[in-house]
Amino acid sequence: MRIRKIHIEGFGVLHDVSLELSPGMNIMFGSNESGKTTLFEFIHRILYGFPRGRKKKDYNPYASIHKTKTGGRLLLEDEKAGLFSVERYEGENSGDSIVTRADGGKGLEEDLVSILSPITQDMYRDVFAFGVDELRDLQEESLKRFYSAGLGLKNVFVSDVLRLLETRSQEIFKTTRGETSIRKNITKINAIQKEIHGLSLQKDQYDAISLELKKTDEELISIKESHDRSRKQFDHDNLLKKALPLWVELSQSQNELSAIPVLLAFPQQALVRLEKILDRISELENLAKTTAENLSRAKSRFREIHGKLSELSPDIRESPEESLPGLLDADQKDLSMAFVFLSSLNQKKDKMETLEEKKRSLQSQLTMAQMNSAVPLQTAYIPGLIAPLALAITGIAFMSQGLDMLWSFIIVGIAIILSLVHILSTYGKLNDFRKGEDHFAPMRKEIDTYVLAMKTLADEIEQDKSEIATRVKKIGISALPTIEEIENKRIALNRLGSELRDCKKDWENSESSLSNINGNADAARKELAQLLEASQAPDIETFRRLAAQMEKRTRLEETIKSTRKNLMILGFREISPLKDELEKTSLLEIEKRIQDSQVLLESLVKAMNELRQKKGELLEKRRMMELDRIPELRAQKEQALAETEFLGKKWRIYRLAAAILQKAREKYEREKQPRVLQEAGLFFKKMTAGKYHRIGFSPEEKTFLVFDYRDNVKNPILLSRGAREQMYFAIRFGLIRSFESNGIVLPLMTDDILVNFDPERSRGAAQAFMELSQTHQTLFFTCHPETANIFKEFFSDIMIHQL
Amino acid sequence: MDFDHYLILYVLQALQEVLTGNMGNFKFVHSSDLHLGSPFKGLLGMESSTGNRLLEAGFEAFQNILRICVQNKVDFLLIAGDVFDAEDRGLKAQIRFRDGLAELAEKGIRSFVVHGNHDPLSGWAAQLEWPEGVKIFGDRIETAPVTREGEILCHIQGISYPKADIRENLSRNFKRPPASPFAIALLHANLGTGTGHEPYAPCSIEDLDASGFDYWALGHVHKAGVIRKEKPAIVYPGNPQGLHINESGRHGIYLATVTNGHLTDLSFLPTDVVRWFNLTGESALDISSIETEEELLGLIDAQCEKINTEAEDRSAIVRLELRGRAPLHSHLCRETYLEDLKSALQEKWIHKDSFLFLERIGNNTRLPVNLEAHRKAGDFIAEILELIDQARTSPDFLEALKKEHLSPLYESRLWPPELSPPSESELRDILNEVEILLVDQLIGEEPS
Repeated sequence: MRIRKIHIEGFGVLHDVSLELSPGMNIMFGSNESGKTTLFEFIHRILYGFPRGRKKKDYNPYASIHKTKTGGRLLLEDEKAGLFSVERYEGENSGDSIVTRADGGKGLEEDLVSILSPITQDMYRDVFAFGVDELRDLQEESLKRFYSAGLGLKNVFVSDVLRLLETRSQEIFKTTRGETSIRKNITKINAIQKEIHGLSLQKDQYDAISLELKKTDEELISIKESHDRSRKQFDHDNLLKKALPLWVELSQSQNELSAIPVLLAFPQQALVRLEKILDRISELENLAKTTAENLSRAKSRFREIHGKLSELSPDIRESPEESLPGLLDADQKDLSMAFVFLSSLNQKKDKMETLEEKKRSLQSQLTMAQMNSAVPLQTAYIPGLIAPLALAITGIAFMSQGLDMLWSFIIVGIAIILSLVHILSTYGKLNDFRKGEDHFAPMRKEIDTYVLAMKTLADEIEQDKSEIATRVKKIGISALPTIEEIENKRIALNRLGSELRDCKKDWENSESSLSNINGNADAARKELAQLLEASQAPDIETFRRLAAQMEKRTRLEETIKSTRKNLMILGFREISPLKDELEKTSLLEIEKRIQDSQVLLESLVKAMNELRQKKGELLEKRRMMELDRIPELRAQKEQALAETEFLGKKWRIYRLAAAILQKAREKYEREKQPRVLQEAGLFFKKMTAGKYHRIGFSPEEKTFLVFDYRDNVKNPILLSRGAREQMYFAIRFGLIRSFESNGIVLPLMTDDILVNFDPERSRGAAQAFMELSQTHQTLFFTCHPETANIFKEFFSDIMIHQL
Repeated sequence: MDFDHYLILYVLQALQEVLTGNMGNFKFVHSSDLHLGSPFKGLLGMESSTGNRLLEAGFEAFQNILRICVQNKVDFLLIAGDVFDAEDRGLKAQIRFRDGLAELAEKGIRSFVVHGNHDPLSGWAAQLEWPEGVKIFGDRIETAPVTREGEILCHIQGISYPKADIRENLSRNFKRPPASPFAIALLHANLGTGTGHEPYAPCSIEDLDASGFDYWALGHVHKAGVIRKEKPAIVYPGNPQGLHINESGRHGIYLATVTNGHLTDLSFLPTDVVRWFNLTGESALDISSIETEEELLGLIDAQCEKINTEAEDRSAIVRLELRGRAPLHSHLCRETYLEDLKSALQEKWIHKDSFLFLERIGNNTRLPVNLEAHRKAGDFIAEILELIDQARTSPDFLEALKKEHLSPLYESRLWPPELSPPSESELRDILNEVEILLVDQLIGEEPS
């Protein structure tokens, strides 16, 4: 690519500047502040754009000072793309390019990008457009770019890749000591292996445990047998110990029993029965005594009441005791009769008074009635005749006056009717009067009957009086007593009479129960006699002795029975073997045996428990072993091995990759890279006039090396400033050549790079430039006229642009 | 089916036996290589809960064998060696094995056992009481008759390894018992060559043919296979439970039916509890058309679904590899990316009863760039590719690389003896990964 024309609209001090460039060498000459650097910067920015983003905010030293837009255009020519212009202005879009093709068609940003693309902006600045400041060194970034640009890779250092591979592989494994994943895994594997080994040693132990378990089982069985034997003896002795007192009791009872004579017949529960009978007899005797006392008390009481009665009635005093009740009854009857007659007498007296009263009232009625019946005959006719007469006159009067005939007749008629009615009623009253005269006769007759009845009553009263007198005469009351007198007497008699009767009843009851009691007592005595006779005892004393004997016998027999039963319960069915056994031993001996057995049993149980515990432990131990962690550990080991294998594979890959990369680099450096360095070496040789004839590169130290004509190597740091600048200049030339071989040809711009070169080397450099300008358009900025003159020495047709 | 049905079936069966006079018909199960107590090998990143379930897998497979024996009412069980995984056998394994056979004995099913190179007689046998009906063959050839109601059904001849390293051809010592209705040889042996197993007690088909047996019940090879169907039948049942990634697929036992002295049926019945699925190399998952992580997750999840079906209600352990020029390549190359992806997928599957354990997701994808262009350009990448090609093709160069760069680990005392140093072919295999790593590091996209 070449720049044909430059047009600056405005950029720093420059504005409206147009330049036409030569396709080869262009010397851009101008004094200080004439705008050389500004032009340099302008071309750079039109090609790659204005700074963007954060940089934009910084002070822009190249803003147009002429109030025009900052920017301009370049007319470019490219072998492939042909002629086209690129225009940029700083502004909103930070100088987006306007690409216009020669035919006037709109070009694309991409066209420009594709031409520049292998060379980034920074790289362009580094390799194609540099000033003296850049010449002094190459930054690490630039170095990397330099190097990779040469290798045709992305922006990586092969040495970085190598180091990465090395690091990765060393993380996995390294020969020197240190934590790596493989070592970690192997440590794990060894630990697992050790554990497995430890566990597998247990297999002998397992067999030993199995054998010991068997032995323990046998031992347990034998101890169990002897324990059972001892236990049996112990139990038996314990029974013997319990049987011994029973046995002693049995023997004693049997002895005692044999000493008591045998009684053939003795009534059942004789002694109880005897006592019962004796008790009954004494009880009956006591009762008889009390009853007799009661009898005599009843007799004396009778006599007392009798005395009192005698005072009441003279009869009774003279009568014997036996007729007393009858007398009492007769007195009672007389008194009742007297009472009856007295009542009847009183009634008759009342009746007499009533009759008297009636007779008197009738007599007065009769007198009144005779007076009343003579009056009514004179007074009855007068009013009755006057009224009709008056009416008849009225009627006639009316008639004479000529009044209505009808009314006169009515009035006369009424008068006639009234007269007739009066005549009729007066006739009735005359009749009644005649009848009253007949009524007075019965009244007079009734009075006569009353007088007759009263006479009869008086006779009866006299009769009653004599009756009463006969009745009360022997009881000592006045001949005509009052009702109260009779009543009082009757109550007193009645009370004493009933007391007397009760007393008599007690007397009789006591007499009869006394005879009963005596009968019962006789029966009891008879029973006693029978009991004694039945037990062949002559008297109660003997009876008692015999009964006691009998009782003891029965008790002994019962004791014998129960001890035998208890022995049976203890397990001794037959007495004789027990007898044999007990006769040979004693309680002391048995107790000692029990004690010994107990001690033995305890020790056996303890031994068994110990063995059982041991067995349990062995079983547990064996079970634990049977859990067998080995398979699990082996699985863990397998996994760790797999992990190791996997890591090993990764390690192999990293190692082999590193080895191959190293080899490739060596070969590439040997065969290809030297071409870049060779070119650079040639330039360097030219510039140094053969003092140095070769440039090398140490990728490890990332430093260039220079070799003098004797092939002594020298670090560039040791070179003079001028020589070092010449070296970097040569290296750039080498790179430019290598890019060229890849088809990348861009214009070259340098800014006063020969300032530190001596005239001889300046000429060498100029020659190199001239050579390069054959293929690469070159813009050589300088402010030194002599520098321009150097170029003129070589070429007459170079274009010098005066700024 | 109720009791009456069983009764009728039983009567019919008995009738058939009486009518055809085939009292000598019988069934047996042929198993081998139980490797009881063996851990699963080569597993990465196993959570302990999953690990514990795997610990039981071998035993559960053994239980499955017992169940098959009982359900099919077999007359006996054959176990052709390597009952236990290691010479010291493991106590738990021995006890569980004893208990299992005791269970069979209680049901009237006998067991015949020989030991092989993994559990030779020289190993430790715990002090255990063995039930009657279990025959463990010694280090001399023995013959055991199997009888039913006094009538001999067949003879079983067998021998156990006295020690692990038996290199003599034991099969030559087998002699068919005279007048046997059916003769079975029980042996742990490596038949022929190229089984991929150590050549213990090596023998050839001709040797077995010459012996005159009816059935060679072999053990040692972990993959099931009927080497010959008859005259004699030569059978490897394989191990009942795959133990590592190279033992993927179905594992089980053979159920044999003998009628009238002839093997009339031989069926393979799976007993594995956990099934391995190896989706690497040629079976790896091509993700060249996968553009997003979501698609990738979906694809792997679908693959898991498929495996889950194939596992037939068993748990599964899956090793997966991704391949192809993958747009996601750079993502996959990131340090923990695949680990995270794995855990994300794992969540869904690991907690199920029949879990699916995604053990590893390998990355064998390439950058979707044309490396050929680099080769042609002859740039630095081309140098690298050239060197890797050289390592692939030149064993000397590879050996030199190994010696110079890998020996510090593999030749050091540190490296566990259980792990062999990488073989040449393993090294060649990882060159792919070296290439992927380098290309990614040097020209891979910067992760966004």
